Amino acid sequence: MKMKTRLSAWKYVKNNKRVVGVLVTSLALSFMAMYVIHVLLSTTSESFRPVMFEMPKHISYASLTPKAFGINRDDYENYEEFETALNEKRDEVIENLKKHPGIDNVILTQVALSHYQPVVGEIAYEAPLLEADQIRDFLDHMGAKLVDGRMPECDGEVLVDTKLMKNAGTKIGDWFSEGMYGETFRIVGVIESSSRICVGTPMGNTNSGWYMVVYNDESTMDLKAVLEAEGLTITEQDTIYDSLSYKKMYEKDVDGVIQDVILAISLVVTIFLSLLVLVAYVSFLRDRVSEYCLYASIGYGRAEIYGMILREMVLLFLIGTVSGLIISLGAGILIEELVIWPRGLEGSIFYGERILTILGIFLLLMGILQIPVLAYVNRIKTVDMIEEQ
Amino acid sequence: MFEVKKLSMIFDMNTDAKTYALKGIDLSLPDKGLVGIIGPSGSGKSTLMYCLSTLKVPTEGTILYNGREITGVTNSEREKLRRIEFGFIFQKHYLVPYMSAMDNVLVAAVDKGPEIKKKTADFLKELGLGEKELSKKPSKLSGGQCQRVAIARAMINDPKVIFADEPTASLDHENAYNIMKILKKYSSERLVLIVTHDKSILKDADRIIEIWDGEISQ
Repeated sequence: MKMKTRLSAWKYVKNNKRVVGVLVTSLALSFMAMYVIHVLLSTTSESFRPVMFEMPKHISYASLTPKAFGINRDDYENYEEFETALNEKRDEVIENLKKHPGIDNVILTQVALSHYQPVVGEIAYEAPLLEADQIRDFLDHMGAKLVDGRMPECDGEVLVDTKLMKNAGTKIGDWFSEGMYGETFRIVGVIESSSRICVGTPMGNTNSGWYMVVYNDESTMDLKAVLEAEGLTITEQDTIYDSLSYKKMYEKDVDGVIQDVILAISLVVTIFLSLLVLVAYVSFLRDRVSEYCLYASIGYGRAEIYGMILREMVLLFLIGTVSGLIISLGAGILIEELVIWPRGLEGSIFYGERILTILGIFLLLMGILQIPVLAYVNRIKTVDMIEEQ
Repeated sequence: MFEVKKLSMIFDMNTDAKTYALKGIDLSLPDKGLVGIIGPSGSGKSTLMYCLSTLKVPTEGTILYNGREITGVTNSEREKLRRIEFGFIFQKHYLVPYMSAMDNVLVAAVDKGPEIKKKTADFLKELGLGEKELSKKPSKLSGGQCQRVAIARAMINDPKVIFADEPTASLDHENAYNIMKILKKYSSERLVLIVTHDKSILKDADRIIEIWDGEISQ
């Protein structure tokens, strides 16, 4: 006689909603925890991208020590002579830089600091403080446009990017950058740009840092190399913010850290989840010993019983994964509505790679669960052995 | 159907105090009929049944089933015999708690064609279960009803032999009587082997084998 029968995996799942519900809920919530943490932390790396990748394509900053220009204070009798020599050399470098292909303009000016805060971390970056009549040219160079308010006309007025306004919860008329320099700059307009740029007019000499603001294009990735080509000696005491330095900073201090944090959290969740599911699953197997013994007694082989357990497990993980994916995407939409948009952040609700990673973790977990499953399958007895006990 | 020769089962083989559950049993069983194996606790009656049904492998001796030696066959061959040729009724019903009465029978069915569900339902009704009971889980059935489901599970593949170990032990008199009636009916065409210590349920048996200390006394 041909034996077509198979032990059904679906019957247990269908008839044990409470136990199955606990296991599926644990899996789904773990899926969601791992996914939501990724979504939240990714707002940091996603939000910093425009600042650290887009902005340096248009503008770079250099704050150089006199030594970089080859000017040594000890070579001059008084400060005035030293300052005159430094200014002359700096003006010469600036004029030379302006002739460099890939550089449109260079302005020596003060900067303010713009602050941008995702869910985790914060970035503070330069907002050039220009003469009022230089701002239009700056906006054109940056590809930014005024969408609300007016251009700065007096000292201490700034234009702020729309998303930064949302992020800081400010509106036209509020103070900008007040934590760093006091209530120095008044927001007079809102701009839209791909690089979250802010620009304003200085409030006298606030000693907030003088920079060579270099209007460059994408061909000028390495400002340090350009300056060295001009005969300057750049050391670690000089500050340069260009595409190359921002890229390094992003990889090391933003993406690197975020990925490490995500990895650490994923590991903790995985270990916790493994223990939780392991305990639940061992209890699940223990409750069904008599059932497995019955199957063995009426002629089912261990392989068939193991196959049924495996199919049940796959079914549970499948339901847990689908449920987890649905609630994760739901939570992602909520995060987008309640966190990303209102706070002017960048982010996505769908990260395919992350979903694949979580699936990988679940597969690993299923692999770990084979240890107790195989141990139980190997201990399956027939009913006569149970009755003898 | 069964030819048993010099069958012995020794427990604690590796110790000095060897325990003989069965001592050199010779036995012949027919193709059909109700055969009772009776004896006190520890006499070896259950061990004999489990050896015949391939659940246990004897220490010595041979068992021929329809002319084929079955003590040395592989695990998968033993499993196949238990799935197709044999049916089991245990002292406790061993029903799967989360399955309905129907599913508890179907789980043992070898054939899963479209007609098997109807056959199972008809079979359960024939054994005295009502339409409503078919979808009930064991916890919602009485002890007698559970044992009927266990009997249906044992019979669903029309096995050539049914092994019943104390099938009425947990039942009241009326239910025990009804179960025995069912088994008696089945034994008109097949072999039903009942192990019990209660002689009263074997009044309709075609043959009674008494076992004492691992040996057949009669």
